[in-house]
Amino acid sequence: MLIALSLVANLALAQEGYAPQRPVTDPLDATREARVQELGKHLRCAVCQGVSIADSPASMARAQLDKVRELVAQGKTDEEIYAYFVERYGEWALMEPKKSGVTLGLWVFPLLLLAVGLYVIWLQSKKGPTPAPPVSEEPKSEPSTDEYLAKVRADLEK
Amino acid sequence: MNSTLGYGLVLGGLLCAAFAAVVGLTAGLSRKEGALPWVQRAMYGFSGAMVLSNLVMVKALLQHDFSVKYVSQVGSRATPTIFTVVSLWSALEGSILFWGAIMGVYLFAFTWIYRREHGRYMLVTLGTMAAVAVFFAFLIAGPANPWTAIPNPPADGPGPNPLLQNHPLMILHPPMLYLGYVGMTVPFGIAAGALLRGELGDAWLVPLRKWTLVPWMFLSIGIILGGWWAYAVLGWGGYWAWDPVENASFMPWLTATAFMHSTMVLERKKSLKLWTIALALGSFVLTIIGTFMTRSGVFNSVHSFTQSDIGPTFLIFIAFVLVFSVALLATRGHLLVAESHLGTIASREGSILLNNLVFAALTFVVLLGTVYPLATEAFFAKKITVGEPYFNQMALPLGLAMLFLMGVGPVLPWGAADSRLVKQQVLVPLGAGLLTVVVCAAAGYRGFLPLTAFGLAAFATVITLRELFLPAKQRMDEQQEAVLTALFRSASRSQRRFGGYVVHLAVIAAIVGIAASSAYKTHATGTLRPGESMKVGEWTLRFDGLSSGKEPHREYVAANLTLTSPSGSELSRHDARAPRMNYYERSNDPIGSPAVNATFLRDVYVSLLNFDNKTGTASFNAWVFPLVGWIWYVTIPLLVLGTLIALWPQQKTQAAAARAPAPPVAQGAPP
Repeated sequence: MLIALSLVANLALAQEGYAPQRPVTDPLDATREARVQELGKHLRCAVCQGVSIADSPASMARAQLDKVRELVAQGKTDEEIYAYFVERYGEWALMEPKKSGVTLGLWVFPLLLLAVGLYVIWLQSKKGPTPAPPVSEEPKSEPSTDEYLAKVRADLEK
Repeated sequence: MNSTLGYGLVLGGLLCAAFAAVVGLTAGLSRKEGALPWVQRAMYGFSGAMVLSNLVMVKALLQHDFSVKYVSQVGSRATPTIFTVVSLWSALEGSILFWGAIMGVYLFAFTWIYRREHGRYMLVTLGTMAAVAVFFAFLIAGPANPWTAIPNPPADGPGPNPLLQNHPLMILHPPMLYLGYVGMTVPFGIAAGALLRGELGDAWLVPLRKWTLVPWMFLSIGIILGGWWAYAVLGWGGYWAWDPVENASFMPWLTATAFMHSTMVLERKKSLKLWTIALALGSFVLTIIGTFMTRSGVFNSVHSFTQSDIGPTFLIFIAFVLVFSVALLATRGHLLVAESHLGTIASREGSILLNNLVFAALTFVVLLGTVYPLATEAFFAKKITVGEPYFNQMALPLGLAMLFLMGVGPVLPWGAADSRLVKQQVLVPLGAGLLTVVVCAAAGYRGFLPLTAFGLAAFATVITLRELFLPAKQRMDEQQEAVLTALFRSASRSQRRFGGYVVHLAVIAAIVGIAASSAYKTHATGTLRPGESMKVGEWTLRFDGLSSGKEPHREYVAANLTLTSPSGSELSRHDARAPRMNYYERSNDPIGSPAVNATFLRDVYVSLLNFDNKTGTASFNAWVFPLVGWIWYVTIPLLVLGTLIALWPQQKTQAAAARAPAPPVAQGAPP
């Protein structure tokens, strides 16, 4: 939604008779253009907040996207293109944080949480007659009573 | 005059809330039940004062009384009346005032519905809710006061934020979200009250569940309407950007949804108590954090209207609520002992456990991604971006897992599953899922994620529909009832179940809409001279030239279009219905509005990027989005229907038969 701000900045130009964008490079074929759009999704627009250059209609973003087109036309790899933008704008320019360094935590912590959670659930299902639910303490009642009750309730529900 | 009256009412509300909080909590904890009528009166007093103060503000806005600070900030004589009323919540101070009114309505409803309830249950609960009300009343009276009088009032004001008066959805989106956010105060009060009292029978469970369901419904609607608004107004073709503020509204929704599921395990198996009540408390804490993120300006966003002084007050309150909640859980944890254990994973409770894990993980991902950039900047002086690709990669697998559980859960019985029976029941839905994948693939749709989503959606839909209609069919066979009678009776026999499954269908529709519209959209962009055309997918877009016009509160430039559908029929989109730029007096910057041709199966979406008056050319961004409308047109009605079915007052006979003896609070408890 942030792009509203940049949209506004861009449109101010339009009011003054800003000429519509001329493509800096010749139009690319469909596969390469799709690659440009995909790359654009992963690069942050320099003047907007939190929006990729593929999504932002700001003139700055469109110029940046043209730069991507130019680099793609030159036959650069994805890595080279990302490196080009990181060199100019810092790691900030990557919409998807790197899987290394400080930002590794973003990728690892959720997996860790999932692993621990699955382990706890697995433990408690494996324990059989004396399992404890993951977040509560020792069970009080006998399992048989409860299963019986559960069956009765299930029957009642039918 | 308006200033004095409005501010006086706020102060009166603050006093009433403070009285109710102090008396409710002290009398409740020392078991002096005689104080209840006074606490109730104070609650009514708070509600009345807050609602009246809002009415005075609406009056001041309509009178264009620019001697009131807030009116001078957002009022304008040129604004249409409807947007003048709506500007009550179009800026910070007004929205917090409006917040107070909603709080008043909720507290009034709760106090009144349970007015005959024993003081033992009510005093601490009302006291806790009143304490939250004190905080909001204090915000309105102090740091976010809209009532400041202006000595030399201006003749006219700037009018509300143009973005907010560009589309009628803005009338609905904020109140829905506020109803969701503020409403979480009630379950918080019920849970905290039960914990503080140290009486944790089943009594608190039914009202806790129902009063979570109400704000949950509003929160869901608010979130979807927000996406719809972004789609219809901002012109970039998307509806969700993982913006910090969107995330802030999504997190309490996730925890409240998890709560709604774990509460079933709690009722059936008397276990997961601590976890369930932690989810109830956590949802409230997350709404407060969400409010803070929305309103403090910590995050730059379209939602943070102003940099304001409310940040510190909010931080103190958040810290207080967090410490209070954790302390409650720590000191009362021994009361939340499980009375039974859970069985295998292949059971209803097992699937709900997994569901809760998925919801917890998703909440964690959203929280982590939202806060991480702040943390790296603060601790490592490193600016990073956590954007859409990250959230999508993390959320999509979790979403698919959710879809799978939504399908498989209802098939699994409580306790141990009879694997033969389960296999039998899963066979047809599984076939439907596979068939869907094959048909989609044969029709030329590719991609692992969307096809998996469609397959799982078909699987879950078949199971859900069967669970919905099987009881009715049984009644028709056994008791010879007509279709509608059977359906109605079977639904009213187990409303929660029926309502819950209708909500499942709503969620499935949303997931299908999201998957289809993001995986199979077609996009085109181009600059056209009048008379020239471009292709977007199978559609042709012809530019018919620019035109301009004037409306009461804005001027516009429209890029008139004619769309030609694949079958050759022409749709003209001129002037008011063309993609255009709107110019508001308040700002020099125009606000674009796209032209959307919406149908049940696909939307054609064209936004104006640029135009040149000299040459008469215009640049467009155009998309065709399949099924995108499902996210709002299908999901919202189903979601509301399902929630209302679940909330409808239960019949006594059924309540007695299906459950253990009804708890005291539940007896006098309408929805």
